[in-house]
Amino acid sequence: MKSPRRTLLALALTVAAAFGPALFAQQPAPADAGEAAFRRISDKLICQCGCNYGLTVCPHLQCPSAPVLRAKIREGLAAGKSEPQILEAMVAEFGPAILAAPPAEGFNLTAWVMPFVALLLGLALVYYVARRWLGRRKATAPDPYLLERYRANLEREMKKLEE
Amino acid sequence: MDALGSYSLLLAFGFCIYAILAALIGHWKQKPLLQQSSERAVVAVTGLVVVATFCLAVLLLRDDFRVAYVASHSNRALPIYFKFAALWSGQEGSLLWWSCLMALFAATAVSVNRRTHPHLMPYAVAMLMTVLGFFLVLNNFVVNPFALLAMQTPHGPQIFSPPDGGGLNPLLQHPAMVIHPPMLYLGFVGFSVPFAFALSALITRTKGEQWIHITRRWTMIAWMFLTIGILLGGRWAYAVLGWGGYWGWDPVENASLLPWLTGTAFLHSVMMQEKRGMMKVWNMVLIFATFLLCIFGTFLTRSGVLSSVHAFAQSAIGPYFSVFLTGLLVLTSAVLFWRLDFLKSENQLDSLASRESSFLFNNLILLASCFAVLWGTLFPLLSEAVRGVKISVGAPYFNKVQIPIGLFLLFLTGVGPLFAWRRTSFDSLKRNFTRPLLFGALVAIVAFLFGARNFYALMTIFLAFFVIGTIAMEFFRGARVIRQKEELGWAGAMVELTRRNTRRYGGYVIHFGIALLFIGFVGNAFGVHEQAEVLPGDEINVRDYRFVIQGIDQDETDNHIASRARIDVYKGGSLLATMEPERRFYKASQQPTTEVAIWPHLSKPLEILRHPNADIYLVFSGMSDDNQRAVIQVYINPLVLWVWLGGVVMVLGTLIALVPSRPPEPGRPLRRRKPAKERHEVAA
Repeated sequence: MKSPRRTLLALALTVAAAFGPALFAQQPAPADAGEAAFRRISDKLICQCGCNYGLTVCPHLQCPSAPVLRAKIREGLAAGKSEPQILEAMVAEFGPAILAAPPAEGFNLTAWVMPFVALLLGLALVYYVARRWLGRRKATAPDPYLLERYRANLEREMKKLEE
Repeated sequence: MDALGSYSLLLAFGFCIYAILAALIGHWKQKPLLQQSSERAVVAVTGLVVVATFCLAVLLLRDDFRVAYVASHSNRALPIYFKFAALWSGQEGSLLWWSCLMALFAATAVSVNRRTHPHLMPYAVAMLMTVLGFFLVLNNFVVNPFALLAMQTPHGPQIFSPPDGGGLNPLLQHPAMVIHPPMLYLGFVGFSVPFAFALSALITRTKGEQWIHITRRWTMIAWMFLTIGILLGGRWAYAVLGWGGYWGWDPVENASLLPWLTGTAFLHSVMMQEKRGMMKVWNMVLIFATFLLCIFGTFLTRSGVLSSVHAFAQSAIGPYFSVFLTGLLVLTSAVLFWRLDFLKSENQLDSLASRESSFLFNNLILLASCFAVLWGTLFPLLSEAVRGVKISVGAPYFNKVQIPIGLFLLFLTGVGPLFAWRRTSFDSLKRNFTRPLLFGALVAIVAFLFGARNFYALMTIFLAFFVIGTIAMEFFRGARVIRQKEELGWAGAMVELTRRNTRRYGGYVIHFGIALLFIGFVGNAFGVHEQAEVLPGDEINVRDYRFVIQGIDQDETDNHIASRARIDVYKGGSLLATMEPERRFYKASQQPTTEVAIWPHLSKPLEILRHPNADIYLVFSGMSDDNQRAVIQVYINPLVLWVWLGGVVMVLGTLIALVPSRPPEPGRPLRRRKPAKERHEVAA
């Protein structure tokens, strides 16, 4: 029989080869910098026609908003503006609701921080509960001699079962 | 038929009120016959609501456009299955459909449990009928589906019937919409049963884990339907909306995810109560929260407080939902505080390295994820209320916040089953962890060598295959013992193993499905999207695919006019497929839509086996400004198929877990259980 490590390696290679090449070997050739910047900015904006889609993916052809916004981004890039400058100009013209995610500043910071604050508070609560429950166990800890005997019995039984 | 439907609804409401009063008075005055009568009233309510739903379905199928709902949501040329689906496509119909499913669930729960758990029935009946009663109020007095169209004449209002209806929203004319809403509603409604029984058990101080034994299967069924509903919603969005994705963190999508997350936490933590008598308060909180989030989700979907690409049924019912939701919140909180002493934990934690601890962390992460979704969904409202500034919280926010949480959850999915109840030794952990960790790491390294450089994608691959490794090891170890003892083959031993503990191994299958789902999510990091304006004979080149435009055909049916682009897809010189994305114009509603072409699609299983890695997704958006060239969008979406596959595996796992485990054969040692008397004991 093959060693478990070899089996594991063979399995991992088979699995990775099954879906890896098609996924990663087809990574797109790096687009030109302008197009990449256009895509990055579009991804950060929401179409303003009321459809609620991101600007990159708004699927409406007769959309009154998406082509205008896309043209504005291209104009900005052609004029040599940076990504933050273009986003700033968009916010100035259409309001902060055009951004797909709120900027992490001022009151909006709470949008970003609160989930992780809640997670930390939850962790503290879990720690507190676990400590309390563990403390309760210590207060009612069984006789160590009996516990040792019980463990020895259990191990003997487990060995029997495995045989 | 409309009169029959209307009167049935009105009578159902009357019986509903009677059921609540009879159940409570029968219990307080100790009148068994009155209690029995309340249970029969539940059956009567169900029959009447089913009749009303049947009436609306018949009116839709008969094109009775005198009925306002039929006139607004159907038309003569609509295919018959969409006419039936129109039942839940608008506000009035979908609320009636909700009532119908709720009534069926309530009647089944009452019928199944009334003899075995009579002491729980009065409050369970009262609670189930209160929830149903709320929806019947809406059905009867706020958004009646049987309202007729009328016009004012000199002789008073005159009922009239337009020659044809306005038609079903074209976005809803997709096969997934025939089954997606019923599945989602079954999930939402299904949680009302564990909710009602939990509340009843708390009020009556029913000792032990009886309410959990009663409702465990109900909870799993509801969770399964919610899972199917969410996945079908994703499938619908993917195939219909034409933006290339299946999950956009839209408020309506989020609304369905919230109870799924708390429901998942409940299904895990409930095991702590069953096995160790722990987390009693927490489980109550979780099941209450899950049901309240179901109602909250419905409120979000229908009130119009948040704009959504999925909202098709909005009206001014928001205030009714707000009042009902507040009432439920006050009631559940009050009962919980009133009975807090009763929910004292029986056991203690033996070690931090134990299954109990892993469940605590699992619950923490699921709840953190739920909070993050809720917070992000409601933050635009909060911002507007506090600062008066309207902002958007979309996919970039949710992806940034949820991906780390999701990865931690995936890690716990792998780690949790490796811990034993009470305590786990370091040696045991080392023994159980090493191989799955190595397996995950090896796959991630190979993926890295193939060119994957995205950190989150690599972490997901590592953790997903770590989870798969742990599950495989669990099956392997158990099957090896059975194989030696029973002289069975590997497959037979695995089936036998699963049959002996369906809940445990069904759970592992669900975890396997989750791992597949996450592998599918990895594909999002590697998708491409191109758009081109083309003439017949032109080519679009994306990655190593070549798309040749063959032509554009016109087609017309009674329901719509279609423009269809014929596109040959080549890879490495060989023709893969001819794809036909469409642009349709629906005559009745006068609305254009896109019909996406997806390859490989589910109707070609052999193609799926040959090309499991990427969907080619074509959208015919329409014609260019000069009306000469077709606008074609090309998406290459890797690994999407794994998402659907993961969903199917999750449902399969739930079905396995729902099957009762095979009892041990005579001569085998029996697992120690508490005596039935103790389990079913009711506090005086």
